Amino acid sequence: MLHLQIEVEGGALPFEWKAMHNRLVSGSAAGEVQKLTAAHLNARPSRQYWQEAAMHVETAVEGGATVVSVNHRGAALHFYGTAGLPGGELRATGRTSLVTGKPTKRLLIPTDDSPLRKGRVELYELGVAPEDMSVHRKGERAWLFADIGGEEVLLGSLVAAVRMEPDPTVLPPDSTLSAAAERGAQKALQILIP
Amino acid sequence: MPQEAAKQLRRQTLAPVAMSTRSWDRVDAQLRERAFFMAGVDNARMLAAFRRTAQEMAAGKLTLPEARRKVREHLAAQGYEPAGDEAGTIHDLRSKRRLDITLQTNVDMAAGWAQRKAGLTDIANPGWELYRAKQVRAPRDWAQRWQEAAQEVGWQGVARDGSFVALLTSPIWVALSHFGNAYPPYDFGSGMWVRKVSFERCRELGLLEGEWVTEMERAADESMNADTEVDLSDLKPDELEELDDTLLGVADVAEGRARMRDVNGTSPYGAETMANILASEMPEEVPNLQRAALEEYAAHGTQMPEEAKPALRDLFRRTLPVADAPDLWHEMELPEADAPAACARIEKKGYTPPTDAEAVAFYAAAAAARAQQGMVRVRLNWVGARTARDLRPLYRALEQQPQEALHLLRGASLRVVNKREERGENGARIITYTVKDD
Repeated sequence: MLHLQIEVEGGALPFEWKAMHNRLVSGSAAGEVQKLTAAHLNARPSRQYWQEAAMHVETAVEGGATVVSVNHRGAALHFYGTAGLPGGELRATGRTSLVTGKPTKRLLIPTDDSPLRKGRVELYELGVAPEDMSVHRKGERAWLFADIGGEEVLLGSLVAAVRMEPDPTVLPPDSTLSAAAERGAQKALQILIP
Repeated sequence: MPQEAAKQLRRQTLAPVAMSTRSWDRVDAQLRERAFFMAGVDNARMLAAFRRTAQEMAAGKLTLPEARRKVREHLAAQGYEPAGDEAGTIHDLRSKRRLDITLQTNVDMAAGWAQRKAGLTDIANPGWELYRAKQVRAPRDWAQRWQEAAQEVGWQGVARDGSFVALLTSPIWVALSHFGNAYPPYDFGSGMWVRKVSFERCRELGLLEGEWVTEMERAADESMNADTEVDLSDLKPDELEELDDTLLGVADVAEGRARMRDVNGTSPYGAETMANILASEMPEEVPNLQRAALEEYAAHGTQMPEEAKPALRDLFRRTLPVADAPDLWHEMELPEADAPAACARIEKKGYTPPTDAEAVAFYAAAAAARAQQGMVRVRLNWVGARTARDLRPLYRALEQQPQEALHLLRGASLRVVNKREERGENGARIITYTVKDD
């Protein structure tokens, strides 16, 4: 998950406005940030990955702060990179594979033409039995193939670990987000105080 | 003034922060209620379908392949997509896929609810637009569903320009939903989602009429499971009874419907019904936060843990006021030196409970006012107490002996309509304010 904190203060508001309308002002600030962040993620090129992330942008207002979260598996990984993980790498979890029933040892990176990417499915959803899958090796490199309809189809490469550099472009720049929060708050004030 | 306020708005450096879990505790409890309820209803339907099919087989009305097809059709009708004739194999993908769809739907519903709740305080963007967020294998005809839903609700809050735009408070969102929710997803495995629509565009579309801001605020205070009902007319009486037992205190099953009690939410109830909910047996996985909060309050008063206070306030506020609007009284004794400021505050702004009080006791039977020397007695005569709460049944639900009093809740305000001052037997000052609900 990605969490951001933005503080918007309405310090000059009279007491009664603070009590009655503070949540509408901060709610509108949060709303503009959510709108901007969702649109930004939606515009990132992908078949579905970032569009799903855009569906899961949420905000919460706590005290004077707006917290924005992107509740999407992998979004945090792209934003922060793998530097914070043990060894600075993403490795297989070792949990039980739904296909083989054995602990996972490698990560499967689907190729662009892989039926996993085209069908937007997990490996176990392909409906291929373990005995119909095969691993081809060449030195340190390995690839996973599956017998689908009598044809050997490349599913992806098998890697022990992945290193990812942080990608700050996952989210809009700080200045843009802050401007959105201010814009939302000002709009709310204009609506409430015509 | 907006200029002045705008000058106070300042930028902060954006930084990743750990999310506080306190404010999500109640959301978490409501999610658990919802998940338990949906799983219960879903399982009851599945079980009923399997049982009936098995009975038909036993009666010789269906062969096994026919029974399997019938179950598969039932699954498809519920929105599940069977992945081929693999029943009984070790790779029963249909079960996994079904589980995934159910799980993903629940996760998406939580996201949809959170976005709606936050969106109802975003008056800069009072509308939503339905759009296709992701591609699916068999898209539904959402244009037709939108038309039908709009007609069903009389186009209330719905744009008439051919777009899929409506106010957040429009009833079209519920009408559109297979689940009866006002937030996405609107059907199983759906790729449709919503995005915000600005105040300016909603105004251009002629959607902003009347007290639209007030309506948004009112809707923002509703909890996730308020007014959540499911039509179970497809189940037989014995199946309904079994479901009622399964759901325990989470929901009531009656007249062919299951209705969530909104145990951890804000749906209003009279004191006796609320007490019944507090005392109900709950499944292990669903906490009863309001009961736990009341137990803390009964034990520790205002020294109760801070994190339990929101649930306590939800409990007190959702308990409906007493019906008969009685006359009640409350007294405070103040040192002479403090009395002028306290009285000035009451006369200017009305009486409100102290900031550290969740509720203030008001009594029915008046007693003769007495004050010690050097002290001032301030009495409040609350006439026609419209908003007084009877919290005694709630305490009895915890097997506690309550005060014989009704209560004014934190956040409420009483305005002064009359003031009378007199001297007590020992010469001490007695000030009596007649107050009414604000």
